[in-house]
Amino acid sequence: MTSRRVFFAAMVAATLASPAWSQAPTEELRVGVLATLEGPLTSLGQEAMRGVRLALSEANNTVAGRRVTLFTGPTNATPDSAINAARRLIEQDRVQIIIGPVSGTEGLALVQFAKQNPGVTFINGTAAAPEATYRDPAENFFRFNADGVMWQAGLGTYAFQTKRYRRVASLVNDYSFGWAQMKGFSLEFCRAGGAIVERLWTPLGTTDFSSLIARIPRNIDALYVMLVGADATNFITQYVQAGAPVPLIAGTNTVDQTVLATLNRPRLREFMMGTPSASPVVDDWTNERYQRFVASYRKMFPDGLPAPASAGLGYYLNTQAMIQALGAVNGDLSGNQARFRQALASTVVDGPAGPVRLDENRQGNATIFVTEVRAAQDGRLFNGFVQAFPNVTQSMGMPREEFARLGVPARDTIQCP
Amino acid sequence: MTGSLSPKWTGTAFLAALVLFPLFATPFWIVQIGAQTMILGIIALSLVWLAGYGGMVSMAQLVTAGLASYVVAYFGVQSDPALGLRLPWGLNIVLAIAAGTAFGIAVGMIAVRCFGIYMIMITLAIAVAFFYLARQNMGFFNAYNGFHGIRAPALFGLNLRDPIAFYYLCLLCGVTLFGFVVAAARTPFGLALQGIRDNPRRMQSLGYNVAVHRVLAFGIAGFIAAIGGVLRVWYAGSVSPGSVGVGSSISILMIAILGGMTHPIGAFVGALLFNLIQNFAIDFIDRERFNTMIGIILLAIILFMPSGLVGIADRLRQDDKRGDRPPRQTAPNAGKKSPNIREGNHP
Repeated sequence: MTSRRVFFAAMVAATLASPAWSQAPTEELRVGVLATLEGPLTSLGQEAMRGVRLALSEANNTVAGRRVTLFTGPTNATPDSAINAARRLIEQDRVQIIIGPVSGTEGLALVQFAKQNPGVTFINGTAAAPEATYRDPAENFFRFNADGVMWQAGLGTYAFQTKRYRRVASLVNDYSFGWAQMKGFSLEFCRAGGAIVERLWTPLGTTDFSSLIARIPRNIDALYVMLVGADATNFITQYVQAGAPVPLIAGTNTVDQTVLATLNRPRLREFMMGTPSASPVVDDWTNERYQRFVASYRKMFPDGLPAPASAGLGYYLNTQAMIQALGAVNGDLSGNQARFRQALASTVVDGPAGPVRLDENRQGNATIFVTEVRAAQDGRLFNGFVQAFPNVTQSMGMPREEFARLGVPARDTIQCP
Repeated sequence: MTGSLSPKWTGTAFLAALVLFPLFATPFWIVQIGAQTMILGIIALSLVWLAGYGGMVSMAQLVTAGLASYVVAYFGVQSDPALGLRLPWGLNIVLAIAAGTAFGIAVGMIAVRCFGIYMIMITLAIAVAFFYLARQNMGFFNAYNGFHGIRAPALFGLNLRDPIAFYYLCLLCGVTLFGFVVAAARTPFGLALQGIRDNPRRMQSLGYNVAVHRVLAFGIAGFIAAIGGVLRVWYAGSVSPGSVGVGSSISILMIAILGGMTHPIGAFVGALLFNLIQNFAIDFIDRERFNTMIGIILLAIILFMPSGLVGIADRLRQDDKRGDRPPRQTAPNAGKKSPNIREGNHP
């Protein structure tokens, strides 16, 4: 009887002492991470967490002498779940900084949420809807990773000039990130003189693509596909089963390692060989800093992906930015985090693919790679280096006003014909 | 009767606790637990009204609330300057509640000839269709993105975005609607509805128009759910297809089952329990597996307390003193003809 009572007392004590309940000691830094740990983007969320852990472990989990305590806010790629998780991180876990989210639409909702929570600093994860930092940005929202339009830099031109594709159709996930990628691809492909003859849209979380495959026109040179996570794996499998009439041009996440690592049948691998894409990550770039990043990723996560994916890089960059800026102000978050935010805005992140600095809307520039799917000795697929475009800006090298006239990404942005 | 307090006293104490609660609580407890419980409770209340008094289980209550949320966003002010018709908030709320009520009546007209499991199926189909429409349609629902940056109005110098003010608004709505349902059950209409629940054929032969009563019950449920929907969109600040997904619809059914459908208070008790589990399960288990834990808790409750938490309270009270509350008046029972996803507490 007594031992049971002692046990309960210990349980209660343990509960009260757990970080969620007790008052924060001053030297501890409380950081929340939003990641899609449920739903169609689960693999991206797991990869995102790796990026955060890698950056923190390189800093020994300590910034300016203060230990970093991480709190995870699991989401399911819907804006509602992101807001709920963020609210819980702020109000219950009392985090001072939030890193995330993964998905574009989550990001748009979070920017609005950031405006209502001026006491917390929000640093993006990989959410890549351009509007988050383009139109009506929030003072306390920072994004060191590139947006979805930027991620497609060079792809349209490459598909037209090198691959000699003239007529394409598209199959894209119907949400803000898909629209952004479509805009990025068609911006260059249409300018080069190509034609996008049919645009098919499908919601995130589609599992059966048979009716969409049936609607792909026959007289085209290639199909532009931008599907994310489980959708991409499902589509590629069903497309190959249906005979795969035309080759693919892939959006960033469609040939991401989160997808390529799931293609384990020889026929699927054979079909995907040579598929062009554009991305902020590339698996075999010989750059020394980049190779160091890939090597430490592999060392820390032996059971992770064969090479870091864009979600890993995005969270890594943004966490890195937080660490650098906190170091610069010696961990000072006083005065509504004003000094920290100032430091963050002027931080030049030592990114694996080159230095990243923010523009006036707190949006980072990036190095973007045109890649091609290739096979390694052991048969597994990777994204091979074709071309690098350093310093891609949010307006894709165009004057801001001219770029703004193209319109916010939507289903029908940039038509050709 | 020394062992237990009378329901009147318990109720007063309960209400006092709810009113005083924000004085002691943190914003997290006030808004995320307090206000959200009230909002979920109101939406579940619409289901308890339908199921408990009308014997009709509708899975479309959450999308009814969702429609009201969308109306608030579409006709109101929100973050995207290109969207939102910016009507004055008063008119906007009236529109939202009218839309919810009309939608409730429409669902009722479709579902009214079905009973039991068939009614659940047809209302579930409506909920699923609504979700897919919201996800695909650009013109009214803004597809996957939905609407963001929707905020409660500031009126008469009172900013409803403030946690405490918002909590009291939700509490006021919750208590009023609770009283409304209890009172409605005692009106001739409410009694006729309970009669129809227990034996529709007999009521028909007595001259009651069964179909009209049932459709009207759906309309009232739509009205209640719509108020919940307006509060919900103010609470979340956004509405998108994820807010009206099948998962959320099932959550509302879950809340009603947890709390028990034998008394309107079950909706709020269930909402509180559901909300606490949702928010705190993650503290006790691995972040990637907390959904499993939520599932197990819900399963255990349904297994061991088939009539919900209110059922337990009722059973305790009935053991204490039989016939303390006339069941026909305040606590609707499961009649023979009523759908049996709930279990009656009547021996």
